[in-house]
Amino acid sequence: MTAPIVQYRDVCKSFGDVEVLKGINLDINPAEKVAVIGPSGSGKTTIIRLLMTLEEPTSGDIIVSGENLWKMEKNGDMVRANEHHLRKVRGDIGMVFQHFNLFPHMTILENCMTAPIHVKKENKEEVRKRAIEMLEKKASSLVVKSSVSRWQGLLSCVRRSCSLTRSLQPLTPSLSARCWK
Amino acid sequence: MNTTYWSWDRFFEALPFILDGLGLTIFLTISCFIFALVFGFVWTFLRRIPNRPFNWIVSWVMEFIRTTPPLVQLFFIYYAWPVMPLVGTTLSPVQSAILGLGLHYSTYISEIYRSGIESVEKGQWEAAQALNLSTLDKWRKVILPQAIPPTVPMLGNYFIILFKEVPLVSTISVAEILLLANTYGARNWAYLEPLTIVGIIFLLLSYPSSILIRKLEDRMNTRFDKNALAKSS
Repeated sequence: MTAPIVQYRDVCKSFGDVEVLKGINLDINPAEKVAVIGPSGSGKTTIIRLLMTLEEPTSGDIIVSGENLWKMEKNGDMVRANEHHLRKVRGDIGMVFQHFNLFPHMTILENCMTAPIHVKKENKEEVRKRAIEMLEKKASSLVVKSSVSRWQGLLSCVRRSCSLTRSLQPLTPSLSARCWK
Repeated sequence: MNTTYWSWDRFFEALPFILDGLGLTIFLTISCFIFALVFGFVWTFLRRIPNRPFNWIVSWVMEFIRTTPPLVQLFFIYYAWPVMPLVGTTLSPVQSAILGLGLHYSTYISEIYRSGIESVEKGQWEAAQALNLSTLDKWRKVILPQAIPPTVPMLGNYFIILFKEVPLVSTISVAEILLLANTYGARNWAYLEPLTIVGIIFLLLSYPSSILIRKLEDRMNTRFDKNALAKSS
């Protein structure tokens, strides 16, 4: 029995007066695939945005690999996380956006290379090789070099694969490999 | 026929005298513009610091610079600044000119940058955050490369406007073309030819530049229209 990799503990989220999440409790185990299904406006996206630290929960805790996303220990107290803590915990979380949000001023390959090179400071050639390999496997060798205007017209499933590749690239190899299964 | 009004001899005598100052005019335009481009960024980022009182002060200073005439600012920097207690230093006419016009235009340019930055979609900021880019990389790799190119035609327009404002600095004794034309006029008691020359020089330089900018604008428009079309699909 392994410990869950993602834990939601009584997570609430309100936008102004609108209460979107009212105490979510959720455990996700390593290698587990979870589908969240619900009508539009029910908070599916909010759940995932909270995990990506794009939104801050109104109350409750989200714990990823034992680290509390929004709280950190300081002098024995749990205080609100600073940017440094957020960047640390965010390192092993990836997300594919609803509209993919690929960077339009870069090629698809550059999109996939930005984070490993600038965040992880990895070797550029290795990153390139890995990114091309993943793109060819998941999307198509045709998209690798293509630019903004080209991929704007691509099928959305291809764009999703590109976005997925981009989000997996900066993760640790074992984690990203697991996601490829 | 009275031919004393216009003399081609005088025209060709004044021409080289005035052209001597053209280099300085162009130098001033470029230096002021570079100053404004750099300082525009400083204003833009100062205004993004999330501190209300500080923000209020910065906006107020910018508003003050923008709404006072550049001529007053030039006079202040050149004549009044040196006698200020503690901070006052004497600046050469050219230094005052670059500081004065550069600072004035930096506030306009900052607004252009701001509009460019605000036009970057929210999803791009979030994608940069999701990829865990540092603040510096987020700006350098994602936000500014998308925010600045669409503003290039607007920046170009300001470059031409700035070029046309440079004669202002003749009032603080910078020997650019207008001052030389005036000097020539005073010396020979003939203003028609030298001032005509100044007008022609400005026309010859700004008209082609404005055509160039318009072409650039067209090209940008088609490029961004295409993007907008593809996005909507």
